[in-house]
Amino acid sequence: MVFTAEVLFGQLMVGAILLGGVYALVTMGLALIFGVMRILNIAHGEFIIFGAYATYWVSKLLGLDPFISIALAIPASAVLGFLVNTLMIRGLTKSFDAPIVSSFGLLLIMQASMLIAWTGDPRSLVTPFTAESIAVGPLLVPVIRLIAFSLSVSVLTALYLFLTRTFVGRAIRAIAQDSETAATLGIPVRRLQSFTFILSTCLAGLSGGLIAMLLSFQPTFGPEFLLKSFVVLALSGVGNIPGVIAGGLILGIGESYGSFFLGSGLRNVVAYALLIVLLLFRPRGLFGEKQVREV
Amino acid sequence: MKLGFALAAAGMVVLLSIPTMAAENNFIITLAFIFSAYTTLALAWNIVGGFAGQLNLGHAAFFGVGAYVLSLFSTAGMHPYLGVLGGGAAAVGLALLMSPLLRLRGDYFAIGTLSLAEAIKIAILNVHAYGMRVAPYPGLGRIENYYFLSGLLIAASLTTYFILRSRLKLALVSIRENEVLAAGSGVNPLKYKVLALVVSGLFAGLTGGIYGYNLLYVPAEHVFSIEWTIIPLFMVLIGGRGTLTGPLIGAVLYLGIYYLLQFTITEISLLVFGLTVVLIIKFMPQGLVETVLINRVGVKRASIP
Repeated sequence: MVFTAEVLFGQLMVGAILLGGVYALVTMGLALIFGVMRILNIAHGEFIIFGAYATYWVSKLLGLDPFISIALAIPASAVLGFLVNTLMIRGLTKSFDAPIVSSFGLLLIMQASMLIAWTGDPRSLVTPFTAESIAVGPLLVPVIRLIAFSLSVSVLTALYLFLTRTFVGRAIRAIAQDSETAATLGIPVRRLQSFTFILSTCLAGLSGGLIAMLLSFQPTFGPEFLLKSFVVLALSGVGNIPGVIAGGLILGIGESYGSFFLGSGLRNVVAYALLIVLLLFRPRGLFGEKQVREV
Repeated sequence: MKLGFALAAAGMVVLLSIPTMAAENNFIITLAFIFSAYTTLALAWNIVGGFAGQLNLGHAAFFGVGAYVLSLFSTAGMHPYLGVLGGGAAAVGLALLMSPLLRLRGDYFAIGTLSLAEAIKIAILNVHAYGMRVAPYPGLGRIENYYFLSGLLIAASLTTYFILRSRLKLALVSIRENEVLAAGSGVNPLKYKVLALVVSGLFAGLTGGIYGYNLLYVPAEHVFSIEWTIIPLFMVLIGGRGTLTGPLIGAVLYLGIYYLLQFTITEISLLVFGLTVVLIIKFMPQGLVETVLINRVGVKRASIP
């Protein structure tokens, strides 16, 4: 096989796009809560790591196929989301700062519990496809990344259809636009906000399961995924699923080429620099709509 | 009011007499140093996050830049306290650099500042992966550093007190409560927010500088750690934002609980600590000063600085 510059470029692009799809899924949970409940959930990364561990242990202890384990990790994330929402988040939604601090407390609780329960050793989940690749012309497409990408994009598409085509989905979007007006129209705002929180932890659980198959992880990795989600969120603007997918892809591409040209250490600097420039010039996100300032 | 001044004077006497009373006990002086550092940071954060209501999640960047610039000055062979002042000046520069972010709405400001702090940390980690050593300067040890820092703490308290007594507080609080209406009544929101950020950055940068010199070692991983943002933020929110009493009470309460847990149940201290934070926010979302002192005990709001 001949390695030309074009092949290298293409190979980087394949990796970037496949990872970018997963980044979009990683962000979606955060974006949902942020849009519908106006809560910046600092513990979002911990929910992802929890999903990764749930998938890992179900697969290890029950000897199940990793993909079936994900299906079991999602209900576990839902239960966790329900508990957190009932015990902590509900009743705090009125102010903006209190939930942030509360969710930081949650970050400490979850990180410490996971460290105590599962130690800080890095782990990763081996699947039957881990070492497999498909050759597409001169390029190699890793099968496991392709599966993770397809699964992410399908889930995001399903979520998009749910939010735009169903009655409940439209009600959720109404809350995101203006919760007070939504309440006067008879939409059960509190109940749908709880539902959204649990949905968001399910999405985090799923993306965690996928990450367990793609990368090695440990309990302290949560904040890194949180920051990646921030970057994607700033790229996409709130409440815009096609934007989230595009944002995920841009982050994936930026990271891949950034680490290739600048070295892996500076790759995150590229992402954050991109984020800050975007915030300054497009505060509603690259794909966000212009909004009138509220009084 | 007289009680307030008596308490403040008593606090100042205790603060300044700790090295003498501790009889050069290193453990107590170190503890007092950490306490003063966090409290100064909390007072500094309170100016932007408490009075002006801008949720700055990049406070650690001021602290880190202060410490880092000190290490550069020290490597260049300059007097360490000059380096601390240089660190403060650099943090002011960073605050001015950050000021365009103040145009953003609250939640985006939080995301932007958090990312900026992370970006600076990673960039510096690339240059000095293993941190910088700081050479000790003859005659300037733990105790001198402690006096320097407690002077800083007193200055930050006085600054907060003067803000409370001035029109500046009205401008900042009106921005916090409703920025558009504040602009409509003749307050220039950006100008006041930048001013608040600069003062906040100055104190945080100076604290970072003296902290770095006291440690004699400046690892980027540590001085840019998000804990320098989050812990002061907790202290302010636990105590009560936009006051002088709030951050001070919050700092004592926070560090008290934290070290109590550290020394008793070391293994699970962070877990219990996280739980404590969640419970405090759940039952006192307005902070201790508002929920307990004003609503329960019935102290008049105007009499609490």
